Amino acid sequence: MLHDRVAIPARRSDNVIVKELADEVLVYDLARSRAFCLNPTSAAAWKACDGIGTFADVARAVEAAVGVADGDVVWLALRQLSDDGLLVERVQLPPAQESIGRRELMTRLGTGAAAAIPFVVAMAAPRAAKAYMPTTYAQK
Amino acid sequence: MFARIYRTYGVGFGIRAATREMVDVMAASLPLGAEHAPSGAVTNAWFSILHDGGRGRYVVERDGEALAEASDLEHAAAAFEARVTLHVAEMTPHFVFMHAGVVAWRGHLLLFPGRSMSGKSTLVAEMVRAGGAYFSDEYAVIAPDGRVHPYTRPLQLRVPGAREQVRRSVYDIGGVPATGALAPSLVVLSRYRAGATWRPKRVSPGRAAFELLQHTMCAVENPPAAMDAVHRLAASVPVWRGVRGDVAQIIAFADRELAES
Repeated sequence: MLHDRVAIPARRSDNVIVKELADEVLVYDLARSRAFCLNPTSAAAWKACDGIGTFADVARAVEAAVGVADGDVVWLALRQLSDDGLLVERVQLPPAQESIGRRELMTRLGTGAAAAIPFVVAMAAPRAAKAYMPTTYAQK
Repeated sequence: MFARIYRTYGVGFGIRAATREMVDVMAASLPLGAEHAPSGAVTNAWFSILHDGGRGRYVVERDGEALAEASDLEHAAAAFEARVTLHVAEMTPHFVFMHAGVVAWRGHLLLFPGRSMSGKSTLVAEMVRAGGAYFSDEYAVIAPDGRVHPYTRPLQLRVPGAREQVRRSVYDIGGVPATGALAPSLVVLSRYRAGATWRPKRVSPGRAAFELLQHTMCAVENPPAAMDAVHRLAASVPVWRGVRGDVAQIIAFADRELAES
């Protein structure tokens, strides 16, 4: 396919803490105090981003991990990883891939493949004081 | 100014106020385990209570930054206690504090992570009344080996119809405090809704670690320790999430899960 040989940026390894749990990955971005949870599809894509491989290599890794061979799924995973700053540079997306979303993929692939849709949950690391709302006094 | 230095959980902090009476009030409102330290000891921060006579308000400060104010010294002391405990929880190098209710139930440790005002204290109190050993209604104090240590502060319980919470020792509610550390057996992420039926779903380990990080006090100040703690917990302990109603449902669920483990 046209984009199979597109080079894919490497995953970030500087200023991140990475924890693998089963087939998911938890990433803490120290530079921005943000945490990310990558579902199995996104985790497989991210781990395949070694800075050497191509789109085809990432696609093979995703297929091996979650059993889905769909280019749009892989591009969506790469787009999310890129948008969340988890790659060393932004991935160059084919124009058609810039707008495909999860809902569209789910409609096309069916609910049986919903778990394979790439998914990255993000949050700003919590400041302790924000989570504490004592009510025994008037707070400034 | 009157000043003293204290240390707990490896964190040194100072307290100061314009009168000895106010310093004594602050000294009576310290985090658990705080011990008086020598005057030259290292401190992470200085906490003060100032009285603004013109406005008739008490102001709680840390290192000159106003954190809270109150109309009387009692409420200012409560604000100070909350803030200094937060500070210790964020800065301790020896433990990871997680916002959670913690109960030892039939020899197993249950964690109920949740923000303040999420019903943790009520849930913990009910389980203690039912025979659990009280670890904490606010913090799981997690050691590097993964075991949780008791933080048996007085429970802060809501009184129906009242805006403020009241403090009750575990003995006042007919319970007993835990005395030793335990490894967790079960984690329950829940929010309370009156009349709800408990139908929890198992959370995947990765998602569980992510959810637990949201309740980890040192996530910003000490990310490596926070990530280690949530990773270890999520990788070794089942985590469930749901909406809870009656505590009896939680107890029945815990009994079933612990029997199968």
